[in-house]
Amino acid sequence: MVAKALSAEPDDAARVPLVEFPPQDLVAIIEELTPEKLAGLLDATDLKADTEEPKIKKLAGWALEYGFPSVCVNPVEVDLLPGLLQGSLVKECYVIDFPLGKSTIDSKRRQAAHTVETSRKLRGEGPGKIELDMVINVGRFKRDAGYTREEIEAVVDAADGETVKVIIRSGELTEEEIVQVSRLVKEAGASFVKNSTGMDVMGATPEHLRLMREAVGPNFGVKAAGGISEAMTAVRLIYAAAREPEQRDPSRFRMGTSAPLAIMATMDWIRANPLAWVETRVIPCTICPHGQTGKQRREVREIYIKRCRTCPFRRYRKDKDF
Amino acid sequence: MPRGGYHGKMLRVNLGDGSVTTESLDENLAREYVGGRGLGSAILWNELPPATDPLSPENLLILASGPLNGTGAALSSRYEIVTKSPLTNTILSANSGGRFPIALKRTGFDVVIFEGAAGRPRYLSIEDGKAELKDASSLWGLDTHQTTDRLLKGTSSQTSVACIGPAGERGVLYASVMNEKDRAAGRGGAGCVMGAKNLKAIVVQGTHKTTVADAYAFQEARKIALTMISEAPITKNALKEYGTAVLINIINQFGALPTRNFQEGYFPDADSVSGETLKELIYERSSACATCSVACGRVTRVADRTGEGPEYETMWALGPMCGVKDLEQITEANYNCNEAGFDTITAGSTIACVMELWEKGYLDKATEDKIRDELGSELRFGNGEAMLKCTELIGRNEGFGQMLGQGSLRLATRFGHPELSMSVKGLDLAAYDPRGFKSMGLAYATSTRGACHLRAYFVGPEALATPYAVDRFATEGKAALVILYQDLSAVIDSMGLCMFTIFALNPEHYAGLLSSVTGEPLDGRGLLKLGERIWNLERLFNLREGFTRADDALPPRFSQETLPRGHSKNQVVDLEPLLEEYYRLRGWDEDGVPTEAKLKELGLSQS
Repeated sequence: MVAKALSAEPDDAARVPLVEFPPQDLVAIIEELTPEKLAGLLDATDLKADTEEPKIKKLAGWALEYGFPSVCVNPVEVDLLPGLLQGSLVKECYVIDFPLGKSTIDSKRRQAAHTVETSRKLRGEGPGKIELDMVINVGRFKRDAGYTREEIEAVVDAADGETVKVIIRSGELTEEEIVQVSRLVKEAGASFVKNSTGMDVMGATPEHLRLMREAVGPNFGVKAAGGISEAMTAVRLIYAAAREPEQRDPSRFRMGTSAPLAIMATMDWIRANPLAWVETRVIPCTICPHGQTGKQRREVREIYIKRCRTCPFRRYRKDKDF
Repeated sequence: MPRGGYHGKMLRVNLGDGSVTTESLDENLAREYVGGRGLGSAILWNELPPATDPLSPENLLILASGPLNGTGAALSSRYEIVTKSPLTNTILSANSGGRFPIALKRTGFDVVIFEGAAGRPRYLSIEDGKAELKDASSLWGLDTHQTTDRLLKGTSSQTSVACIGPAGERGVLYASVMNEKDRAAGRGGAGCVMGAKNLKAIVVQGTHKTTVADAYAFQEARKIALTMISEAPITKNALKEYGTAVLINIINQFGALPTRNFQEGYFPDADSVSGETLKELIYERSSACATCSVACGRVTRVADRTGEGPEYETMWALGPMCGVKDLEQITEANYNCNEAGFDTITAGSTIACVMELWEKGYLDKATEDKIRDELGSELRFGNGEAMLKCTELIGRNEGFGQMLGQGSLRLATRFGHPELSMSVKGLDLAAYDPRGFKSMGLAYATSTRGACHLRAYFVGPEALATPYAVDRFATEGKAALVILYQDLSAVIDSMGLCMFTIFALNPEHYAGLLSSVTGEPLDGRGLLKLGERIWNLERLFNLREGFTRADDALPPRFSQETLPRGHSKNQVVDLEPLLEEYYRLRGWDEDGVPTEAKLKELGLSQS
């Protein structure tokens, strides 16, 4: 069974989330993705609290060797990262107000401005070498979308023309809210909408990425993050949010991952027999947002549980452990 | 000869007349079958007459190194013993690590072939290209630790020993060949063949370096492999921290940890025999094979005894499989197996089989009395003391131990219930219930040496999300992937690499390593083609020995009895559709015989 197309009403209880994929479409993606092209979609990321200098150096080394578009780290690394990437095409990516997004708008603005200024000064290569992944204040968004627009505009302004990606923490949003905030991100002048910090209640699911893509249209940037550590997950997310070949471009689709080498390596596994790997399907509930209700807000959880009851794959939840 | 990876020499030892001769390695065989398992299998196929009695002097015992041994590539210290198995009558290649594989390669020989049988105990000493058969009368009867210590006395630190213990000498059909005391070429009875030849040990030492054809490309490939191994979660964390027994709790959570002779898939006391508990209670230090950064080995101590292990399969076979939860009893039983030199998996499975026969009342009274008399108790599930005593009896091949030393299939057949032997082609299943991991069912059924988990370790995708997680109960696409794993595993075993590299490397990585060493251009697909040739050759060997499609079958328990509890509850294996798809994708006919077209494609056609 192939997922139904996104309905006009995302809360339609009968709607099946995107958990199954036409094998031939995934095979086409796999065959089209050369190692270079795949590498071009991966932001090599380490945002852990205890990350130290050797790990940042390692990430930078991987990015230079494999051609990842950016190295994504906490802003404190701005004294180190510019020097590591100097003279290359690899961009520095810093997260702003990470991971909760609960600072004031002014605080976000100042953090963004300081980071851009410091990076440009140290790298000395002018604009165009920095990306900022900012986190919105999800709680405020739920009652005041205007506030969210304001904070995004503030960071875009402070970024001074650099790429801004906006993390919406999709696991804490209803589907209507995902669509709404994705459109808002686009309108506020950012370049990408990104689903997760990788530390909130839900990582990247094809269903949410598809919703985001549908909301922002084919040419806007969509970034997936959270739990992407091997190639088949990456391929499913590409199917969800970069189904058209022209969307598989670093300006329109990215995946943030702390395991970029594992993704590159497992893609070679899959290439050895793409159809067989694709036909050996994943357990639907493991990639379905509706199955991940443990830490969700009540209003989201109730919708998802309701969906699970009518899902054609509900036998998995009844009989099996995964 | 390829430009690197081989010395180009084989040693042929005739134990019957005592002659030792040096021969050139056939370069076509090296190219087509790589080394190790592949090369040994090709030699066995070419030289062993069909229907040879495995314990007769006519059987061959072949020690084969791989082209990566001695190059310094990560996890590249594995060698293979190839022979015809006395336990299964199939082709057998048994694999071991430690330091012996590299020491063997450094002797200057790629392959050592033993033929005939000695009139009295002998051992072979190879020192830097010079080989000599020596008298082993004073070693006969010693266990593997004593033998190793005696043979290493006064030698350099570069010397290494592979030997058999009393089990091999006395005809235990699943006796193993042990090196570095506790490293086993364990499965299928290579040690029994060695014992039948009156060959006690092989002592190796040398300084011959393995040449590498393209040093720059090799360093690049080696560096990439090292990075991948140091970054992959399983090789980076799990195996390093807890050893292979880390799998006990994981597989138990899946409800697929075979318990009480596969009657259940969940062992409530699994944590008491887990890698975590091992580390807490009996762990002394980690140990590693040469060139290994993972160090999955565990040196342990129980009372005044010390040794390596138990590793996962051993822990399971002597533990949950027998319903035993006492870590110290399992560990001591493991020491017994290693010191006497026999396979822990088959031993545990055979004991478990008798436990079920006992509990179901299928043993005759005379046998029950004999067991009670020799063990001092009834052989029921959970009786750790009796299990431990059984391992002593097997090692000595005495009394009831003689019956146990024949393996579960012969034993269960003797009592009229072969269906209670959890084996395929006579080799007992490993620690993954195929009802919980459907692909493992196909892997066990089609494995060329009987039910072996390492011929296609599909637990990677089905349990460990490596390279990625698949639905472990689904069957779609699985036959093709089992084939992929079988072919790749055949090449890994032939290159001289550890199977655990499969958690971190992909076919392209392996191809990069092999081609840079040999100088023969190769990509991932070409590498898999080499594996496919090896696999088909092993299949041809078994067909020549009379095996048929009927032998590609699981014990009826897996299709007829569901698991009663745990997270694989209510599952059974429907093997037939998987098998049909497997044969079709392999290019074999419906009887499981490779078609002429397939043989031609692989260069195996004899017409």
